[in-house]
This record gives sequence, structure tokens and C-alpha cells, in this order.
Amino acid sequence: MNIFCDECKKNIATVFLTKISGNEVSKVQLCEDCAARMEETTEAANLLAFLPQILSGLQAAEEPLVEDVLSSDLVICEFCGTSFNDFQKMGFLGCAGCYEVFGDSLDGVLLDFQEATEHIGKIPGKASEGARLRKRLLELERYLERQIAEEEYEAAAAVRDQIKEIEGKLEMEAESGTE
Amino acid sequence: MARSKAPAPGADWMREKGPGYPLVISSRARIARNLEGLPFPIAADEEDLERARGMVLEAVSRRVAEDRDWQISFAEELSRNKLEMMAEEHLTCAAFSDRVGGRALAVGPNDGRSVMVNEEDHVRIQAVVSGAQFMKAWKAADEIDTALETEIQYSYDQRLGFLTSSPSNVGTGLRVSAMLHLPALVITGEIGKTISALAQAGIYVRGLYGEGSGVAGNIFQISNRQTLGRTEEFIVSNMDMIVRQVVDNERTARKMMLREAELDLTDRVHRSLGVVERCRRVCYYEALELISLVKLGVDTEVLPVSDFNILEVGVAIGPYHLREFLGGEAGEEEVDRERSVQLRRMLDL
Repeated sequence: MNIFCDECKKNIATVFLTKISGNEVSKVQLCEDCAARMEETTEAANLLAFLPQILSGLQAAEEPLVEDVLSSDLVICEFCGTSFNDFQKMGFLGCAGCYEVFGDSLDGVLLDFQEATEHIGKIPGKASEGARLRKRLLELERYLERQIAEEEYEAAAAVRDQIKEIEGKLEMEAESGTE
Repeated sequence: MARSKAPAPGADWMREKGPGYPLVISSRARIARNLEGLPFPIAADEEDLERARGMVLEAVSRRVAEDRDWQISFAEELSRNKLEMMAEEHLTCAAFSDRVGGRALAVGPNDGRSVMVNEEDHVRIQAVVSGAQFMKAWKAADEIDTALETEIQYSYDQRLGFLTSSPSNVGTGLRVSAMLHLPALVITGEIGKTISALAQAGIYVRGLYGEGSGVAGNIFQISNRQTLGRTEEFIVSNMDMIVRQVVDNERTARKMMLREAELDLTDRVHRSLGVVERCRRVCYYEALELISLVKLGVDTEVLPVSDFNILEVGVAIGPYHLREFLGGEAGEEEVDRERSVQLRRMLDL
């Protein structure tokens, strides 16, 4: 059994590491000096190793998406100020709004990384009810606009009442949520 | 001068023998959540972080910590050493200690449950149990999640599910992981095939301290990569199935070593025991490698040493636990010397 450092082959090895790179596992034994040097470089390498995984969706994407991505570099989330470029550099989004603002480009990332773009797991009680109401509200508002444009004022009045009712429910929910 | 034994670290799961012992050390479920209307911690200012922390901790104390036994700590009020000890005990990750402002940790009464506040996400619920009990771990974390949700509104999207700072956690926000001790697969070189198969099955393979950490002591942490487009039940049962296969591989490798390379196996484990018995200083990584092989010798009944939990010993001889034991100011040499002493005490040598 060799007792010397794999790196300098002079000092006695006191640090033993099992390294995984890709699918390869290798064991290295190092002296303290060489281990300290290695640690500096592997820390940097680990940091880099994480990002490409997340972002490989962008690189592997088809031609037209590359253009989208280039232009979406300049897209900035209006809610938190995070740019798509920031996300590409750090791997983190700044807020829920980022998911909406970077929508299409993010779907590419999700498809590659998660192999899915739709949640099928747990639904929170409150959120599902709130989300359902908000969705209904949007539909009704669109309907209302159309009725007004077509000068169907009687139907529009009925829709307006429904909208008020839903807004009331949403307000109540918001209040009970912040209590 | 006779010194006392270092206190046993961590929660009960580190001392229990769960299903799959000794190959499966523990199961962990971690759920990531964020609060609606607030930027994620990475983009949040001090005020938003404080607000998020207040809301989460209030929800924890009102809905989860009803028994009052939960211990809540603000990260900025803890010493560097205490913060690092939490990471060594797998309560937090190494990144938690990097930026302490606005962060907090709530830890359940010795039961492996905890809630980390304002790390990558506003809320990180964690439950760890001994052995291969992924459903139990997830149920414990899910219960906390449901309880918190009655107090706080999570950031949730109809299509994408629970929104997280990294899209790698979006959807269920659920990461289930297993801590495995696989020395025979490493020695026989079979681990490469296993890792390659795991990668293809959408499973991450990491070291003892998770993301970005090297492998030491032949301890591997494996976890699901995908959190979106799968139900929680699928993620949990899939991990259970995969762990069974890996454990089978390790058992086969151990049998093969005993049958075809007994001299090599007995030589390796006896050498390791010899070093543990005689060393006067030992660094952390070497110590982890040594206890891994001694443990293999105990499991295969080659060594006449009483059984021990590799993780409990591994955590107790961690640099920050030893430094705390020595009074907080000890230098590296003193820590390495104490480690050799504690190693013998913990292994009853």
C-alpha cells in the first residue's frame, strides 16, 4: 500500500478522498499541502458544475430558441429587477413574477431539467380556491368588455354583479389570510 | 488526564437502527416553499427578510410547535462554530452559514424535524428518520407543510405548482434523499456502474454533505432530481424502489468480497482498526475513511468491535463539534489530536 501523496509523491498522505467525476469514481490520497491546493480548485469547479445542468436546456435547444434567449437576456422582471442574464449566471430567480416574465425561456429550462412543465402534485387549500376565483374573475372581466362593446348593457350589469361578488370573496380571503 | 466523552450529537435518528440498517443510514424529505407577495430571499432586502422570518416563525410557533419544545434560533445570534455544527448535523446546509442576516432555524424536539427560514427559499421544511422510511419522512414534513399553510399564503402557480427560487425545486418542492454507506461498491469499483444507472434514473448522487461536497467515508447521499410533473407519492415510492436496488448491489459486492477476496477485505479492515487504535492525530477525511472500513469489518463480522452508527460517530468527530467540545478556540492540530482520542472512545477501543 502506497503511503505517499498522489500529487507530489514526496510527503506522506493524510487526506483521503473519493472523487466522482461524471460516472467515474476514483480515490486519491494527498498530503495536507496538496489537499489544501486541490480544495481551492475543486470548490470553484463545483460551483461551475451546478449551473450548466440548469442551463443546458438553453444550449441544447433548437435554433429559434437561441434567438429568443439572446433577446430575453435583456428582459428584466418588473417586480424584483432580476434579469434573465442574472438567472443564467446565478441559477436563481428573484420572485414569483420572474416565472411569468421569463415564461417561454424558462419552459425550455424546465423541459430539459425537470422533463415536465406542469405540476401534478399537492394543491394548497387556500391557493386553489383563490386561484380558481381569480381565474373566473379574469374570464368575467373579458366577457364584460365584450358585452359593453356590443352594447348589451343589461347582460353587462348582471356580469358586473358577479364580478363584485367574486371580488368580495377574494377580499375576505385576503383579510383572513393576513390576520 | 482523563477527558470526558464528547456529547452525542444530533437527533435520535442518528442513534436508531431503521429498516435497511446498516446500509441505509437515514431517509430525509425536504419541502421548499415561498411566501406569496414577497421576493425570494436572494432578491429580498432586509425588511422583506425580516417580514418573511416573522411570518414563518409565527406560523411555526402557532401551528407546529404547540408542544413548545421547538428550539428557534436566529442565525445572526449564533456563533460561527454553532452555525457550522448545525451543518455538520445536517440541520442546515453549508450555504446557510454564508449569509446569516434574516435567517433562522426552528428545530423539533430531538425528532429530526426542522424548518429553515430564508435560505434559498423562505421556508425549507425537513424531516429525517433512521433507515429506509421515505414515506414516514415525507409524511412528517408534509404535516408541517399543511399546518403552516393554514397561517401563511404560499407562492403557488396553477400550472407550475409551488414556486421556488431555483427552478430545480419548482412544482412539489420536494426532495427526498437517502444516506447510504456503500464501501464494498467503492472497493470493488462497481460504484461507477451504480452511479451511472442512478443518473439515468434521474437520481442525484452526492457526498456526505450534499450539493457540492466530496464523497468521504464511502457515504453517499442520493436524491430525486425532478420535482415537477410527478406526484409526491411517486417521488417517495420511486426513491424507496431505487434504494432497494442500490442496497442489493452493495450486499452482493460484500458477499463477493467475502467469497473471492477475503484476504483483501480482512487486511483492509484490520489495517484501519490498527490505525484507529494507534493514531495520535487524524484529520477528518482520513477518520471518515477509517470508520467506514472498521464499520465494514463490524458488519461482515471480520472485526471483534461492537457495532456503532457511522453517522453518529462521523458527526461527533466533525471539526466544529470537536472545536466546541474543546472550548471553541482550539487549533487544527489540537482538534486532530482530540479526534483520535474521541474515535477510540466512541468505538469503545
